Amino acid sequence: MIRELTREENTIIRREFNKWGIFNFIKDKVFVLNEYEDNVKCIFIIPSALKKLIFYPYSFYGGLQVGNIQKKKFIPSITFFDLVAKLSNSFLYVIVDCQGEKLILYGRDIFGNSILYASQKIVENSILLILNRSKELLGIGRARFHTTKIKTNGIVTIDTLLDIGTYLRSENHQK
Amino acid sequence: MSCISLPKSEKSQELATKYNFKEWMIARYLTIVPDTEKFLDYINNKVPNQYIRINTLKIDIDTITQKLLEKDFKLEKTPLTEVFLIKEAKFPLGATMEYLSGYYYIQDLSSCLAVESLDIEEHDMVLDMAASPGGKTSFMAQKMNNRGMILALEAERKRLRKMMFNLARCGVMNTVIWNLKGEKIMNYDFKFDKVLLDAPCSCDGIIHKDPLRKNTYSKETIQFCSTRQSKLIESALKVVKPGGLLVYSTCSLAPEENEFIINSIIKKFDITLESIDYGIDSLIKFGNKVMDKSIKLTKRFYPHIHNTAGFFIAKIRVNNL
Repeated sequence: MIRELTREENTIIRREFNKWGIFNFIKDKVFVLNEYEDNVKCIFIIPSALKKLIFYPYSFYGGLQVGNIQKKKFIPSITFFDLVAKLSNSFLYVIVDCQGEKLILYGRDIFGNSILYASQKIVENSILLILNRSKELLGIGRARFHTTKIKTNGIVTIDTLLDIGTYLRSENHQK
Repeated sequence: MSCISLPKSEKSQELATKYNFKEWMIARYLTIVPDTEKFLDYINNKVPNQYIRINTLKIDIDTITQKLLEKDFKLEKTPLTEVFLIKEAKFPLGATMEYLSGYYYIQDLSSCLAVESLDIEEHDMVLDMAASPGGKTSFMAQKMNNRGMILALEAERKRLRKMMFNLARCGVMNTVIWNLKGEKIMNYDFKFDKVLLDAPCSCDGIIHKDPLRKNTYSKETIQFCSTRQSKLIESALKVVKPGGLLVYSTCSLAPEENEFIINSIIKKFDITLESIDYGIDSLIKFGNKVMDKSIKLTKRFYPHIHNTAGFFIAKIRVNNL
């Protein structure tokens, strides 16, 4: 059954929206939570009008699934980062070439030689968006190196954490 | 509603042998399908057409078509501006960055025409009664610019995840999914401006995409489906606002699942059938059964004529209940 968030849950999520520069997206919307059989607590953001339909026993999903809550921590989904890529201007990112793009779609990590551009403030363990040459979101990664070394040839410099192929793999996994 | 058997003939025997179909099916197709032999040739030999529907919630049509052209896709326009026929593709349609980003949805033109017939407006409250895997739902959301409200029902729990991922990929925001049988919606106090009932059916309209259906197709399936469809459409009619629209569709060619269903509600409810700009007129006679003449306003689509799945669409205006 879908429910409203507790005050604490709300705070945790709003903080994350703020951190990634998409706080304005929350306006006129509310967060709701559904705890599925596998104990995953999915967080959805819905337009306020949808409240009329969402709080029913058979309700399974609504609006956009922006992430999960695990042990008081918000784990954003690829949908969340899609919003970041489109609406925010305060995030770290790299731009990869066609070869890098293909590898990411299969969930593979990024080699330094695939990176065409990297934000200046990347440090080891920075979470960053991986974009293609048209600045479209391909995935989310964790940097292994500082910006100055991130283009190093022949070694993985970014670990892919999430990618847009997640949709397809999750879907196939469910069949 | 029981399945009508038609007399077999030399022709039905000949075609059943030639195309490896059950003879009772051919006997029916000879009455239902224009240019039957061409139809059988088509579904036995032709690689099914693939269509994509551009998801304008995520990208505009010119940008995505340009991207696909750069990847050596050959696209052909269709009567719907958002929908393109794939003439040639160098990559599997479901494995491109553009697909994964939700820029397009692989969806038959006939399914899109069912949504088109709903005349959806931005702030409508819409019900999709048998929604998984979510292709029509996401097209509706697109037509509504993610505004208004869609309630999407899906009875089978195992189909919900797939639908969830499809809606997420397409950036659909204005939809709530309920894990509920369509028949039960009338127990809730909701009235909708538009209702889409793409009813569960025997699916012989997609035999060319899934030839195994040739073997599993049976008279019992038709009977089972038409009984369920009667219940579903009556439930649907009870939740449409007066003046609202119900679109009923199936990918079945069986009149028992199409014209017969519409004929039965014409007598029972205060409704008017409205014309649809696509397809060809439906049957007003099948076997010994003669139907209301207005049934002609409902439309049929055939693979060998329309390059789509075999499909049926009825557009029903609800006057008063």
